[in-house]
Amino acid sequence: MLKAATGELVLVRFSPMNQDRFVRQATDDADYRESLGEERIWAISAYGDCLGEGETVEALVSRICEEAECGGPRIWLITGGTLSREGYDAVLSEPPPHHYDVIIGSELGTEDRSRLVESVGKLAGLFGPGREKNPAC
Amino acid sequence: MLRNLVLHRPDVRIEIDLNSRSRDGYTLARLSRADGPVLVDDDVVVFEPDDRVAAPARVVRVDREHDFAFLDVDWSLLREDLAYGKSPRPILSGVIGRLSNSATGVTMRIRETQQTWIGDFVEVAPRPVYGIVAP
Repeated sequence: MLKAATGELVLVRFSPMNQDRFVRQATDDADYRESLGEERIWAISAYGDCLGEGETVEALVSRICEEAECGGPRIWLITGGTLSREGYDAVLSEPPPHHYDVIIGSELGTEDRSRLVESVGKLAGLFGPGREKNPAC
Repeated sequence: MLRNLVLHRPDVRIEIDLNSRSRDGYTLARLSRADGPVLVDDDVVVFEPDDRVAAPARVVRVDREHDFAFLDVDWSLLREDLAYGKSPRPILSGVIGRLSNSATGVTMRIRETQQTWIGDFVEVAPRPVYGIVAP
């Protein structure tokens, strides 16, 4: 199981978890923001919360999976610290409860798709080792 | 007996990312990833192909200009997607298949010409049984 410090953000990602589908969701997200009249920002969704005092990562993950309006048998875990060190920001974007946007970038124009694919692939690789079974299933 | 077949068109299926949400918390999906027309207040089925799970959902609104549907998914009913890979298609004539009643184990052949779809749920009167038309 993932290790995290008290107070650190832990993110849970449900399926899909592969580069092609990450690219697709990030593009959908950018299109959605544009449809709202906002800047095109590429992001993927995840669910998260901060590790409480005396709380185990297992308990936190169970709580997120039970409270998130979502589901699926497989989950992938990552800490906010790992994301931050690799240059990604996680931004709380409720509703629904615990929903976060993991920001990939804002200057990934469609004419330069290779940068998007590269950045998304790196992000998928960061999540990849943290695969677990959904404790709420 | 077979004259009383009542056919229900299967719900439109839409592929989703289990994590994706709109600003108001609904599940965000692309209309172009649905296998049929999507209308507001329709009941649909959302599915995620990697985990092979599916759940019922209601269409809250659509944005055709930007190709989005906003879906209220009943996550409590997320289950294994038994229809995965079995895309509905029309069968217009001939023997259209078998009607199986999973409760009784009774299987009968449907011999009348009848428009239906593989995967349709079928009700037979006067003693209702429910089943799925098998290819």
